Amino acid sequence: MTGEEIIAKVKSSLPDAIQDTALPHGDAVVFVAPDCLQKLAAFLKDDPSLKFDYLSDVSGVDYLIEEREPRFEAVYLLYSIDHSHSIRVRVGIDEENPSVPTVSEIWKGALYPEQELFDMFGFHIAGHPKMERLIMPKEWVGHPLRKDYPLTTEPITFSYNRDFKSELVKSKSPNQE
Amino acid sequence: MGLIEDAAERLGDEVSNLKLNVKDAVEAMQYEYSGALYDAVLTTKLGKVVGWAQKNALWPATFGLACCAIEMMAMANSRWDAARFGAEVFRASPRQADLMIVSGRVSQKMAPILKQIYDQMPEPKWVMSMGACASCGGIFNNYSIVQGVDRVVPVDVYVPGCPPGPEALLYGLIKLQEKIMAEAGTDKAKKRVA
Repeated sequence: MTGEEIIAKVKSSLPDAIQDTALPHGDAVVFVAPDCLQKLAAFLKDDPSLKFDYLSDVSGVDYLIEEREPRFEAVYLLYSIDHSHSIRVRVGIDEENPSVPTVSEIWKGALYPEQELFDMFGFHIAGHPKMERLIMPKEWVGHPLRKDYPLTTEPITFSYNRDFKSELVKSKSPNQE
Repeated sequence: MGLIEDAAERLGDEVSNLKLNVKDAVEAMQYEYSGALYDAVLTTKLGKVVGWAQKNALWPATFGLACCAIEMMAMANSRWDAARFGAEVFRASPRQADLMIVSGRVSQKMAPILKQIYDQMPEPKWVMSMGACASCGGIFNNYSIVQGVDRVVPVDVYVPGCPPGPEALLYGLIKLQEKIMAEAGTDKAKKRVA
């Protein structure tokens, strides 16, 4: 199926769940609210003509610099091995108490990426069986992939753009004393 | 009676001749071997001998962290051959090693493990910081990388480079040997063994 066909199919089947759709470079993208995610995910996997049986990746986005509403987004990249077509599901998440339901009951492979999502962005994954840090040490403070997390930890001595970089250093990370 | 006295006198001469011969032979032997004895015995300090033994048998711990470890392995291979300097026996157990080559960037999560491996190594022990990342964080000036392994363990030799070649690492090894030899016999070296 092409991107247009996938979007038309999803839109006609779940008109209430879909907030918006897009077709960048022919890729099917659907925007959905967090509380409709599990319903959409189950439909995408179970529908015989879509059959998205492979969850390629789960990633997060922080739109702090773009000042977009809502600030956070979780992105689910799905692929169908049988039909060899793909879809991107984007879930907007509010800044206050960012939370998104788990899809690990639908795709088992979502367990680790969702844990990483919690580790790096601080999203609470509702229904996830093991909500703890995956990559950073257990006692770590803060979520490093958020845009307001300090980029560097050491003052820069030699650099061709030192003035720009020293701006980045000014706010110290919560783990540095 | 004259016959007996004559015989006794002759015997006396023979005995004195023999005594003289033996004395000459012993003197000649002493003269001959005195030089050999002088060459065979070396006087030195015990600490220097210990240091010499330690520097020629540095056993690194098998501990590769990143791309620098590839160069470290190349150093042990036949082309560069760290065996020439007595440092080819990479031990899989830190208990049998006395040199830790920190070859690569140390992440915040790896730092406690690195410290544990260092603590498990018996004294005397030395640490080489290999490459820019281990020495100062390198290009990774961010939250996840320790900005220099000397914040975790004491470092004896820093080898610069990204990554340093095997010959640079060998040079660092020779510098470490020089350091061990310079330290040998001093209180610092005694403290290491104790």
